[in-house]
Amino acid sequence: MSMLWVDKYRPKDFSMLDYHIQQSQELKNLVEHSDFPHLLIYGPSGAGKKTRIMCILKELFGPGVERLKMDNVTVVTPSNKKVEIVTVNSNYHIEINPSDVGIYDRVIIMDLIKNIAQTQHITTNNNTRDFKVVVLTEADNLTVDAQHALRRTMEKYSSNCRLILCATSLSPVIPAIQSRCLLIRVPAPSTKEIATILQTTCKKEDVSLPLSFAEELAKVCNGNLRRALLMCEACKVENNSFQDYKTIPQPDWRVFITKLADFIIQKQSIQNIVRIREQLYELLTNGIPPEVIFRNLVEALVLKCNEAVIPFLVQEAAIYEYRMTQGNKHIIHLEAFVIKAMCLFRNKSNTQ
Amino acid sequence: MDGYPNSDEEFELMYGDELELLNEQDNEDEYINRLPQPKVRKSLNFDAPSRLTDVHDDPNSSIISGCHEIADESVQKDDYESTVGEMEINVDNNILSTTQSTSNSRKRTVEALFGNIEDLLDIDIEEYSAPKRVKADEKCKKDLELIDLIIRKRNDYKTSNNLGAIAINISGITSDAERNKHNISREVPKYPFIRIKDFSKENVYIRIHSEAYEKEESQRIVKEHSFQGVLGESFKKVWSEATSLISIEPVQSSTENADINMLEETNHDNQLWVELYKPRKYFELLSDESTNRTILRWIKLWDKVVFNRNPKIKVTPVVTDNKKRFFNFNELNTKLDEHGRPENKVVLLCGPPGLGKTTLAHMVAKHAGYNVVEINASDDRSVDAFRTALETATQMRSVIDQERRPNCIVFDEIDGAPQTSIDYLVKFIQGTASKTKKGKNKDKPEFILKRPIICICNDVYVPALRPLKQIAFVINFPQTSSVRLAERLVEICRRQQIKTDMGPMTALAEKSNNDIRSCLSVLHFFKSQNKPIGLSDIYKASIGQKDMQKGLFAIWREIFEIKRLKKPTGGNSAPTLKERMQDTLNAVGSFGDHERVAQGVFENFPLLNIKDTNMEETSQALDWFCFNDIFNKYIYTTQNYSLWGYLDYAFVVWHFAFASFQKQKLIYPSAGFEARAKEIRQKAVVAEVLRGMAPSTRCYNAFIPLLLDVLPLLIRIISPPFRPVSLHLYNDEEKRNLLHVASIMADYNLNYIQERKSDGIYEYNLEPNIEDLVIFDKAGDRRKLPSYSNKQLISREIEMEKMRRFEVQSGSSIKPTDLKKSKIQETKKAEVPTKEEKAAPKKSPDLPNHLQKLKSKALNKDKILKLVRYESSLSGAKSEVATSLPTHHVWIVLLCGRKCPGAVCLALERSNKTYDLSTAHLTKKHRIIKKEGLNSSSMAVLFIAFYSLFMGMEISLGPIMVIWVGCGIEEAGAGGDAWIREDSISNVPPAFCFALLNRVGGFGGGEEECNYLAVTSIWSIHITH
Repeated sequence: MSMLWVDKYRPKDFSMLDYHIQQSQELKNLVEHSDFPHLLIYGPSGAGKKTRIMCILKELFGPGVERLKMDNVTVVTPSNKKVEIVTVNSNYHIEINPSDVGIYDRVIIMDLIKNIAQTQHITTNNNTRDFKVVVLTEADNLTVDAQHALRRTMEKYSSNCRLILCATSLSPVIPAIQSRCLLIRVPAPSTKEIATILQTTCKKEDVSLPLSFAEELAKVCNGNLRRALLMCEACKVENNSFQDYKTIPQPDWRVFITKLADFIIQKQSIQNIVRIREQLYELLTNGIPPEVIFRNLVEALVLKCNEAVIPFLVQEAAIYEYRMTQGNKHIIHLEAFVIKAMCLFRNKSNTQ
Repeated sequence: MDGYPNSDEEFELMYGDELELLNEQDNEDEYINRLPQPKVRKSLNFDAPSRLTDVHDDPNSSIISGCHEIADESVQKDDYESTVGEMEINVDNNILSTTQSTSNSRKRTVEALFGNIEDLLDIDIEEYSAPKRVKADEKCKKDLELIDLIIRKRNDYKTSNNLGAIAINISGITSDAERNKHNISREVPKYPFIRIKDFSKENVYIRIHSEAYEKEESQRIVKEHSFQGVLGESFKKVWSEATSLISIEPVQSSTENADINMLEETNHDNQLWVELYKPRKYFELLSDESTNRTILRWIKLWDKVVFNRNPKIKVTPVVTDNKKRFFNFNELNTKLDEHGRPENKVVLLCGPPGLGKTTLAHMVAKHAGYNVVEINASDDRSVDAFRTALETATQMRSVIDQERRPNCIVFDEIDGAPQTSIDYLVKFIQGTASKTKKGKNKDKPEFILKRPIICICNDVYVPALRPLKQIAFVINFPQTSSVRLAERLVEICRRQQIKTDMGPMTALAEKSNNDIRSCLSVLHFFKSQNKPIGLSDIYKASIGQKDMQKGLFAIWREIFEIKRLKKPTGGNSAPTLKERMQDTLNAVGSFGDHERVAQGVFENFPLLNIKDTNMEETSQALDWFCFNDIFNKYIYTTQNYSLWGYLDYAFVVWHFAFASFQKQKLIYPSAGFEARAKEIRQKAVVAEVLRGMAPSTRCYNAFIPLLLDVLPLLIRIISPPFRPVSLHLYNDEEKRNLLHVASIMADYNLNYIQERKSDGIYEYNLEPNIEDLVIFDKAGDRRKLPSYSNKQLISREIEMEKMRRFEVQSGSSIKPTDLKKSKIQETKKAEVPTKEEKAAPKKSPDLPNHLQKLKSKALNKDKILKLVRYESSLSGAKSEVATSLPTHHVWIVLLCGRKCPGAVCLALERSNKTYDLSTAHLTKKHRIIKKEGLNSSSMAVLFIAFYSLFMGMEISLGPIMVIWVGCGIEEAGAGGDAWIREDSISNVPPAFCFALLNRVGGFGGGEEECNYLAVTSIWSIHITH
């Protein structure tokens, strides 16, 4: 079955992992010994957290975990609202993303996970462990309530089940949960590692990828291997060979943000607010998280703007982004930052 | 030139109707006699001299007489106009045909000033219009003169009213006694008499005068008591004035004047001034003239059904037909329905408090001869209470009231009534139409609403009022003019012996926003201080400023516009910063919904023309938006509403940053809401992608990475540059690419579906449409999109891919009944899919089915699993079907024999679309088979018929499952054979399965109890090369 390169060449067990070899060896050792604690795996997007989780599971239970199916589970909230969530499960584990249901994640934790944790796994086969695994993705998006609901469950039913939490950032996870887990950080692969992986992948596909281009891609992808592979494939699809590439295919939203930054630098006036707002709204409505917009916008601005302004710009960006996390309406904070940045540029050009 | 009426004629034309109205209700008995000769109509021959006499002869038009005072002034104007008229006389004739349009334009201007008076003017409009059109400024002049006239008229009325009252007092007392002496007697008199009996059963003889004598006598009395030489008015005028005054209020004036005096003296201390100085006559109303008149006219429309007499107003078809009443909001529809009721059964008066809405409603209803039944917020307004009130009021009449007047219902403060009650009211008003039909059927006396209903509210935009607004005649109550209010206040002060004059009173009126009630309260308060009121007192007083609830737009205006203050000395001045701040705070503070106001400011300010070159100020203002947002969130999350007060200050900053003297065009903020709605929509698209993903892909994908990285690049990957040629011209490389794309799309639950555009062209679109989601710069999108034919190819490939996967899945998911076996085989099974994964691409055809050469298909014997007997309960059968049926495909379910409800329903549940096809769709041949009875082979034929039907409808089919219910295994097998036979002649899918459920035994007990023998068998037929 031919798939995307990302899926096709994804390592299926520890021996196939390309980077963080030391870490994977440690993980393997951990799993081999009978007991293993709850895990909290964190690291940036595209670093290979999920790949490692699946490797762990495979190591634990054998190839049976790859027979996955999806289920719809309905949970009724105390206020009699029916909440539906999709789980991906095999015979040995279940994967849930409780933040799919927003503020009702506590109900999922309370009902669903507790239920799973309470029931003993019936094993006839001696190979398998006598516990099952619950994988909670996007653990950093769990509400504080849900996290509190989780902490007791983690302790009480640890004989029946192990939790593997997956998060991009550790800070939103409450300390109580952090202390109950073994924290494993999966750092993003280095540029060099990405470049090598790209090349080996291309070799498997019978395409030759020049090293210079591989490095270029690795630089652009920001340590996100998934993005690197996808960009590489997109490039291949569009040009068929990597010889005469001109631009690296970027996700459209990044191009859009870069254009917005250019616009801000070129023209600072009140009359542009309407257009800027429209563009910000477009980004937000298409689901781009405001933090991502903020970060990419600042990066793009810093690249283009006057050097003297950069420290102020970054400082302001920090202030506004912090405020945004405290507020409700992202558009206001984004726009306020844009206007502030315009202000800075204008003052700079006036003084010069 | 005589075509132009002079000013008093003009006035009469405008007001004649109204006067008649007034007169009419007060002497109703007389009215009937007079009805056939409406004076105003008569005067419309424009014969100026004769008409003048007409006017004077007409006792009803006495008030007109006052106009003579201004006659001199109008002479000039008349002369001017007449010359204009002469000049234009030729044009006139030509234009007459087109006057309709010009008169319309004229209507507007007059209306703008006076509300609707054109109904009163309409007859002479044609004469006016021609010169009017030529001399545009003349119109304004005319309108202003009209205003002058009315103001003057009002003054006249005041003075004449006083005089009249005196006259009545004198004449009333003296002549009555004298007359009684002469005309009533206890003995049999000499003059002609009638005999009646008094309380003590004694005869009393009352003289009968001849009509002529009566007239003469009354003239004599008037002559005796008239003030000769007053203002040099003729006798006739004074006479007519007097009679008209008497006729207006023969009883009222005397009693009421006495009433007021008495009240002032007795109840002086324990009555609110609002009650004390309530208008008691129509002419005392302070509210806007045109509004008053409109309501009065509306209520008179009910005369037909209530009093059984023709309404006075413009029922003549000529008038109503000539008019174009399409665009008038405050325009009354004077048409009557089949029951003689006006089109609008209910009037909805709306406006801010203290303008006199309730007073007007009461006054008008009384004036028109009704007994007012008021239901306000203090009453119980549940549906039941409403019903009782409505029914009693409309179907009964007061017994206690001596005059036995019909009721008129006034719903005060209806904006606070519960929704259900208002709905009931609406039904009650409308329900008449539907009820009549029902009533006829039941031979019941039908009920029709026969009484006018007046509703009063402050806020017309209350959601509960929406249904009422649609059927009601909505009248927006305009502001009272502050000058009129001030005049009244001065008058009241005079009566209360408060020393003051126009200046302070005007200030007070303006300060209280022309709220009569609050003005009176303030005056009452000053009265207790017992000192003269000066201008400074008014300005100092913090009272009188009410908590005014302003509209949203008014608040935004307040923020974006700087108001010029009127100086007491005249001229304008810009308000100081302090005043501006205070005004803004007041405005925002009075309106509770900070969030909406803030959103409005946020969405409006970029549209304004702000001059802020270095953008510092704007930046600061936006910082305050941030602050406001954070603050709001804090308040809501911690429920700490005591901080609410600080929110107002942000608006002051915005005011200083954005406000200007210009008038701004403001919009209602909707962008935020739209953005939110779109966000939800787009998130649903991503969720849809996630939902249908293959589980093996799904476990590595989460929402955000999918959206940020995978989909934007995926959309490029799935659109490689295909040549737009037929598939068999593709080389191997291209074929591989095509397959690759198809399998990726199948993995990510993407597909192209055919859609018909509005212009009839078919188009393949991505489903779910991620294109919309990840492509931002739609115009600058340089990707080469696959052509229509390519998309078609891809779409077909995807279907094939899905079928293949399903096959693999279903092949492996058939569990032998023996549980133990399954356990043992488990490890083996796990390997099966991986094997097949590798095998599948090789095996699968590169060509879609319809391009393939037809070959005889060998039945892959290995794939036919044994027919296994499976004995279990219904739930067992259910789960069996559930596991073996994949979702999201079109199912063809053929039923024959007895029903097997559980399994079939389940199959239907799992398919996401259901097509209901009747045998009418089938060709003749197939229908014949149907008739002959369904054996399995004919069913196969039938099935193929269905299939080709589906192909014709261009509905893409997944693997097809046929569930044969209620037939034997052998029969099903025969069906399978027949299928293969048929297959060779038509294009049918390469793989399908039959599930056969057979029932043995009876339906004993409940559904769960009934025992099913569910035989599940699956044939998988592969096309092998």
